[in-house]
Amino acid sequence: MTSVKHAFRRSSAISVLFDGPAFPFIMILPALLMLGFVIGLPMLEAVRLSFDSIALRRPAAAGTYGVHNYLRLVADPKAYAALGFSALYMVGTVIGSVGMALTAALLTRRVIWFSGLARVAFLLPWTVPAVVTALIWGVMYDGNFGVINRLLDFVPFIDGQNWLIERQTALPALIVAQVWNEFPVAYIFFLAGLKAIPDELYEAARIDRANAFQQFRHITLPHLRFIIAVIVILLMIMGFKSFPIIFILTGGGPAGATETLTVLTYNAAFRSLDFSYAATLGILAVLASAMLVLGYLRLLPRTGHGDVM
Amino acid sequence: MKFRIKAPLAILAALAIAPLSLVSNAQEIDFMVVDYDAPGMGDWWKLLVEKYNTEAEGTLVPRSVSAGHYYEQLLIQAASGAGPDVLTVNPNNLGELLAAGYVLPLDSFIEQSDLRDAIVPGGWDSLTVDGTTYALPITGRTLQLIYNSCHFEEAGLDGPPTSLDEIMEYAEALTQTDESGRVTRYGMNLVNANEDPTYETLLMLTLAHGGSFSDEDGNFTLDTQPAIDALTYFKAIYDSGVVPQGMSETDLRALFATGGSSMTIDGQWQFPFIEQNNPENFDCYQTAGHPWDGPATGGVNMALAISADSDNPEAAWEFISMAASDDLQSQFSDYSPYIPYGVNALSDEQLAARPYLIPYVESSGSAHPIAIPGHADQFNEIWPIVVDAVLLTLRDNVPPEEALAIAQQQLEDCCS
Amino acid sequence: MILGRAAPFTPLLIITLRTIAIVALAMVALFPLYWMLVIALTPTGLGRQVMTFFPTTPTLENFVTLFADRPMARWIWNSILVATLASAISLAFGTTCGYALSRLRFRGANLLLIAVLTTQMMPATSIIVPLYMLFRAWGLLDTMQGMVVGHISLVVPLAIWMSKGFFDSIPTDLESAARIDGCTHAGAFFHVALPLAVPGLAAIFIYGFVTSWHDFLFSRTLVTSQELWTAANGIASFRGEYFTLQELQMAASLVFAIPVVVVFFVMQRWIVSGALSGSIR
Repeated sequence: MTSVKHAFRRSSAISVLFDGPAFPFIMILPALLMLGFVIGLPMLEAVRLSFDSIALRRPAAAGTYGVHNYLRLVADPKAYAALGFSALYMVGTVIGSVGMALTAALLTRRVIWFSGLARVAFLLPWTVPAVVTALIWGVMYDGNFGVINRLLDFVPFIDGQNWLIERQTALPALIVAQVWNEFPVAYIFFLAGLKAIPDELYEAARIDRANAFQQFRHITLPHLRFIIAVIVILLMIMGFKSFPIIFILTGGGPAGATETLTVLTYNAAFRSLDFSYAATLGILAVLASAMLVLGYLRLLPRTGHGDVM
Repeated sequence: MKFRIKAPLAILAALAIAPLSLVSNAQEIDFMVVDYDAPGMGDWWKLLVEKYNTEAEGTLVPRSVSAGHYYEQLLIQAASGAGPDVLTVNPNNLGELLAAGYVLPLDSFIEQSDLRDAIVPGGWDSLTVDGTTYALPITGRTLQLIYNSCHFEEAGLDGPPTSLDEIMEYAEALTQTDESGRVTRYGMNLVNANEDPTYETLLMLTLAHGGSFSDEDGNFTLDTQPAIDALTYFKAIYDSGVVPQGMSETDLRALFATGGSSMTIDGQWQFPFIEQNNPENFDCYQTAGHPWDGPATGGVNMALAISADSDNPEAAWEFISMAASDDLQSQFSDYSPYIPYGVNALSDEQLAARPYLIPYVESSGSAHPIAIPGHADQFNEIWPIVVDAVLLTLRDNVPPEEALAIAQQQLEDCCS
Repeated sequence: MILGRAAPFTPLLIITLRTIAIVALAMVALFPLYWMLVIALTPTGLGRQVMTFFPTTPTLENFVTLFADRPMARWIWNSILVATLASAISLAFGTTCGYALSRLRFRGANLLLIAVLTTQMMPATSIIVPLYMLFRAWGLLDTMQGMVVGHISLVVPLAIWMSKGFFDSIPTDLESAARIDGCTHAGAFFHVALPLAVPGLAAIFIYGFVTSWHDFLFSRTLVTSQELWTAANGIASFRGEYFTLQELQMAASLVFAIPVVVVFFVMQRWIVSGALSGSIR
């Protein structure tokens, strides 16, 4: 919003470092260097790999450069299907997590008794690693002894299922498990955001006789706009490249009904042993998620005030 | 080795940050091993490593990897040009590793050290491709019928079933339900989840119907009558509700070991687990051999190979040959639930202490290999195609002959 | 009136309704954890076939095994070390970068923000081999440092985005005033902007801690010695070749969660302390 005013009143070397025009860049560099080296370099290498032919079972082809992997990708019906499943999975987890997290954050922002406990309760699912999340939901979803089916005995009109092996229920079942595991990420940031909204605004609104919904619409949402946007982007990325839960629970089945792009990529690398094609699929994943994120940023209303970008 | 993502990247990295170069000691041998720190087989590996490190000049460094990630980590390290000197292989992935030029032929080593006869007859076969041997067999397994005789008594059944029809009949008699009709104990385990072991289930049933997945010339025979009959049988037992549906192989094992099901066709590893976790019922569990005339499935399960990349194959071989020494083989069965391949490795006393091993030992020489011989694409192409065919029939009610015809077509297209 | 202020202005009925809603939602969120506990208290091998809604023959045997037979304490200590370092360094790198991006509008800043995000979009499978080669070249394989470096790269992007947002919402007037009073630019950042952003920073720290705590990709690929394993490796190691010791796995996961819960309890106070209240916009 305001530009940095450069003041050159001090002359020691330290002030040049901490106060000079280079200061902002010194602040930016460590993070960027870290990311550039640890992820950036391997990503560049993956780009190179995608034009090469590194497949374990055809070692002689290594070093043959070309666009063959991309041609194969364009003609691969599995890739299109996987893209669709990934997008569906992403949308499901984002909506589920934001909905759950926002509800929980609004409910617990001003708890009087046991406030710490109430908040930590909604953070607890996050303590469970993805691998274990997959295991526990696998046990609960089981169609033979699973506790979910036994609980459903008490609920009229809903029949038990073998959730993970039925075509219609497998993908939603995975989404529920993922939402359970990741909604606390959104919750914690929403809570921090809600706490930053000054109470005076609500008091003023009350004096104006604004009802709860109006307060939510005109005070809470605008103030949370930035955080919701960043969290949605984060969840989009997490959803799009989610792997352990899908891989452990269904392995891409039943009959490919949950074969997302990450599962396909894994199979290309560690089953077909074709690291070049796996890299190509990885690049497709990056392009697709980048486009989805940019599209989402486009959709955000621009107010010129505290915009995301 | 040719398979290596050669490294403009490594150069870039070297330029970017002065790398701490890893000057590896020529006498240092890396050994990538499954669950080195877990009790059981891990203890035997520790004995072996200890023996090598005291008796030989070199030093052996174990790289422990969990079973579930072994192949993945091996591929990552191999593709990075940093593979181990000694690795474990099995007949199912040997073809892929050979195609990559990743394993060293062992024949000259074997002849020099007279180890050819230290291994039980037939032990080398599945590790020998076109007359060249690539690995030393360490452990073997077959699948046999194991049953809970206490459940049999309760249900008034005597003796194990001796045919697939009897299995179906017995399984129905053994399955128990509560008042609400929910099954509380299943009659039989038969792996039918979306995972590799389901491939072996169908292979087993096909062998029981007198067929196989390929003929002598290596042509696929998925669309022949024995395979169709096998899948028809599979579908019937699946639909009758006497086998758990969609449960993973490892979960099924725990289920059987703790009395949640009454029969299984599985390996000898069930017994140490039962002994440890369900000791009061250990005597209930009996092996009965596989209930059909043809061979069981199985063979070599884990074999030691040397990477073609190794700087010091002689030292690596010295290590491998110690694994086949009488000293270590005689202790093998004290630690491991597998069938050893050393001649006389399993003493009469050891066998008497573990009578459940007998059907396994007897069948190991004649077992039918799990992988389809002569094909390199087992895990990546063939197995998933077969599993898909099974699931199409079991879950989507596609008639067996149709599902298998699709699979046969896919196999011919991809892998002939 | 969910959004209403706390008592004394909120009617008791609203508080009761809200409490009921919280309890109901929390029960849904906590049920899988309860089920983990049930399995952890079940003897090995029986976890998959619990037919009641509570453990019928509860046993602590799994928890005992965890510490007696497996170096669980060591693994947790490693996890704490790695997660604390990774999240603290990420926070330092991320907030400085986020602050600079917030206060400094330069051409390509948006591109930079997108590029930072892009680093998180590549499926791990596609970059794991180059990553392994790099870490090998740097001598970071099988070291704690390697894991810390890897985890930082997972956390920094969100730290940058979030902290940029928090700083955007802090008026620049305060810093300008401080600078007129003779504060250096760095001083203004440390003494004025940073304290105001504490709730956000606490949330970022938690995010970093938990992300590092959960990571299994770096820890299983880059580390092989059992002494260096984090608890995530340990939990995965209970999945053996033939049996998955899920009762042990669940017990381990619950023990594993305790340090994170401690971090939650400590940090949530900072988050709700409301240091930002009133100073924003």
